[in-house]
Amino acid sequence: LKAEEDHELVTGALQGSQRAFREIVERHHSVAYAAARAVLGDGDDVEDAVQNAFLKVFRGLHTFRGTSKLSTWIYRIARNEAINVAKKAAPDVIPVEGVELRVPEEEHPDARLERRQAGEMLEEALANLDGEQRQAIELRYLGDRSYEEISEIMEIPLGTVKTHIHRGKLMLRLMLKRRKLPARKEAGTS
Amino acid sequence: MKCAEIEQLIPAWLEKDLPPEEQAMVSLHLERCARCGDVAADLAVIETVLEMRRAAVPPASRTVAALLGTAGRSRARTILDFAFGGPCLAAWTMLALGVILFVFRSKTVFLFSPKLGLFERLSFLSERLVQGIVHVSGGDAWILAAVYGGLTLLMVLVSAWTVMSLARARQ
Repeated sequence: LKAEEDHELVTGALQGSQRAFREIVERHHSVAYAAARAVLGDGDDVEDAVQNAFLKVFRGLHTFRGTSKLSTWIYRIARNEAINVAKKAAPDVIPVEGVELRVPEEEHPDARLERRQAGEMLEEALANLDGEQRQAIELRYLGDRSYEEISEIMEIPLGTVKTHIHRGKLMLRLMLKRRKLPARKEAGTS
Repeated sequence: MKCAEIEQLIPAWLEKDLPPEEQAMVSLHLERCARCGDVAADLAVIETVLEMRRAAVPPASRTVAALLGTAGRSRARTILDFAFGGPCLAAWTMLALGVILFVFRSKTVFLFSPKLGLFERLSFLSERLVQGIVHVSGGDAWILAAVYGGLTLLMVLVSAWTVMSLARARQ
């Protein structure tokens, strides 16, 4: 039913309906945002990437054939747009086999531990997660999507989605521990 | 089952996504193993912090507003086009002419009399306007027909223009 509604919205937007245009953005904004955030972290350029992605979506809407879901299509465009933004803006992003990994900047661990909150530490840990794990986690939490929806959007099996998210969370815990910041203790005090 | 194996199951256990037997087995293990209990507690906190990040997601309306900025301006332009462009410009000109004729040729004092009702005011106004047109035409039937025909055509055009503009603005 959702796919049919998406198809109707695409038809409406192609006919110049602003209402359909708005509806498409509202429905899929969280997916695009999660995809961009998974690549760019919490920088200022995430929103720009999302806007550019939707511009590309609407400029290329006539090429959308409906062979994949609209959310999958928008997710891919947003992710590619974010990767392009990251390549232009950040020299510290190194593509490794199609996966973007952020190289941590030089830091003074003790000073950072004192002033950083659990949320900020988590962002750093997220930036160092495996690409697919992070995409799945961002779609789950920022995108507020179910495992089934993530499976459709990323076009991977449901079991793989669960594995990515579960292992991703365990990895996050490990990274937070390695930084000598017990997640439980820190979050409890913040 | 060893702690390392249990640890891998804890994220699914927190989501109650394990088969009942495994769910019970992990629960039992966590009651006895402080180390795995810590893992579960840490993961619960991470889950909460991850969920809290959702509040920081900007509203879709901001993206819509940014993307429709151009379209929004064109809607305003549509209204301006409607008010001052095409057939409406001619209508405004005709109205201005009518007002000028009325001001110069009618007894304006009578129109503003407090004793007059709205209907009387309107009928007086239209009567004076017709008289004004008759005066301009000099009573020539052809000029009168051209003026009234032109006005009718203008009204049809303005109506069509209005309907089209409203339909465009609603989209």
